[in-house]
Amino acid sequence: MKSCKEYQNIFIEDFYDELEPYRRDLLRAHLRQCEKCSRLYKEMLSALPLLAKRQRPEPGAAFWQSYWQKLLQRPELNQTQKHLKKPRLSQSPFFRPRRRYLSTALAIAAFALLAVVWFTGIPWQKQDIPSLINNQLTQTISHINVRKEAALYLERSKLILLGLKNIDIGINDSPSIDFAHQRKVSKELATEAVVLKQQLEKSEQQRLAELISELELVMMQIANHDAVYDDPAIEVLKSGVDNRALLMKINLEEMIMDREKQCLKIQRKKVVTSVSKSAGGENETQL
Amino acid sequence: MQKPDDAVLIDQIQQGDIRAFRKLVERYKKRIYYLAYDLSGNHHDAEDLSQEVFIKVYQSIHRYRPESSPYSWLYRITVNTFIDQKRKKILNIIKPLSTYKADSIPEPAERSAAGDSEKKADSYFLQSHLQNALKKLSKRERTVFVLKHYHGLSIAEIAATVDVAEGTVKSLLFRAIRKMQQALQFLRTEMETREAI
Ligand SMILES: [Zn+2]
Repeated sequence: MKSCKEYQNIFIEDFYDELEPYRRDLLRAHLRQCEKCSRLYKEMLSALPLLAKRQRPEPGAAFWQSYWQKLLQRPELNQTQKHLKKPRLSQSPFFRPRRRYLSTALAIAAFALLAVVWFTGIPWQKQDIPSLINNQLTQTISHINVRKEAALYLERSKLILLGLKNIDIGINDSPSIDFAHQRKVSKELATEAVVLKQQLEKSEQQRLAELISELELVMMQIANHDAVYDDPAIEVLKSGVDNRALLMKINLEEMIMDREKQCLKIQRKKVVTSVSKSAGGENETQL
Repeated sequence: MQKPDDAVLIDQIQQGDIRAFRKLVERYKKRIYYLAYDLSGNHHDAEDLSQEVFIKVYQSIHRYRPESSPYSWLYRITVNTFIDQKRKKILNIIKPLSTYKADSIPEPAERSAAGDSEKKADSYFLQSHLQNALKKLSKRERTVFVLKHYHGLSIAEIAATVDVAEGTVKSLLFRAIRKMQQALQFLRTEMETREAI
């Protein structure tokens, strides 16, 4: 070993007794001669006993006794129990279950359709109902589903971009650090973008499709990046993200989606109120 | 009666046996909760994270491969779940110091005598600064540090758990210890001064 950096790289193994005797002797010899390394070594070593004084609070017997019961009450577990015998393929820990999204989307779609019909006052005729429901419901559901997918995509992309933004380059006590996880997720996002873009274009959501397309490009760049943090290429990636104002665009889309959600909620409320009023009215007539 | 070993339990869970799952939870709940506590920094998030881990274990039990030990698989799921948690949630754990005490310091079984109050204040002071020093670390730094320092995993085991090269684990540990040493420097100076007096 020649440089101080190489000696500093083995401090950790020495602190935790994972250094072979031969390399430990080399380190000791270097520390005797090099004041800079010796000072750094002592400073870091002295922090360890202090850090060992940290205590965790004990949550108590009642907590441990109720742990299983509380776990059983989690809705995710109840969903799983029904499907346990079927192995599910898409279960990377990165992804959250989407089943809940689908049922919410269906409920909202149904209410939205009801709202459209209610407020436009379309004269119902028995033979029109099935085709009307089919067309409008299918369209609404697919539109909502694509937007849900896009929202999830934006959320995950945002995490990657924020992670990229927060990398500190040039911290001298950080030798090279890889970011395998981000690259893996970026690769997944780049792949998923292809289908999502098509779906968005199909449902005429051009602006979102363009944003996903921009994100796809950045995700591909991250996925193909060599796994080193202190690489100047990271700076190029970061400035690419800044120049395209990607985070701002994501935030904007998220704001729009939030507003849509609120509008749907209000519509839903209106429909419920009207339906209950009309039900009350009918009852009165009957009386 | 001998306890069924982990491999048998996992086999039973794969057959849909909820009682076997319960046994696994009872066996590992403390270890996973404590790891979750070390990572998240407060009781509420630790409980939530640890339960999420067991749900994931149950959901992905078919993907368990016996090449790794069950506890390292559980550790891996805990770490992945923690790393993947929403940024928003992580920001919530950085609580102001005033809310820290009740959540983080064990309550003594009985009221302490007046003479102990200075000791208690010292302990609170030390614990809150140690906890804050941990919070100064990035998620990855914190993860490798707690696995090493509070859970005693070897560098190779950590590398396997978080799925990075051993060199990366060492770099992260170096950074973590350096950052915390700098954050706690004033505390050490203060303690040394007190000892000198
Ligand atoms: Zn040196």
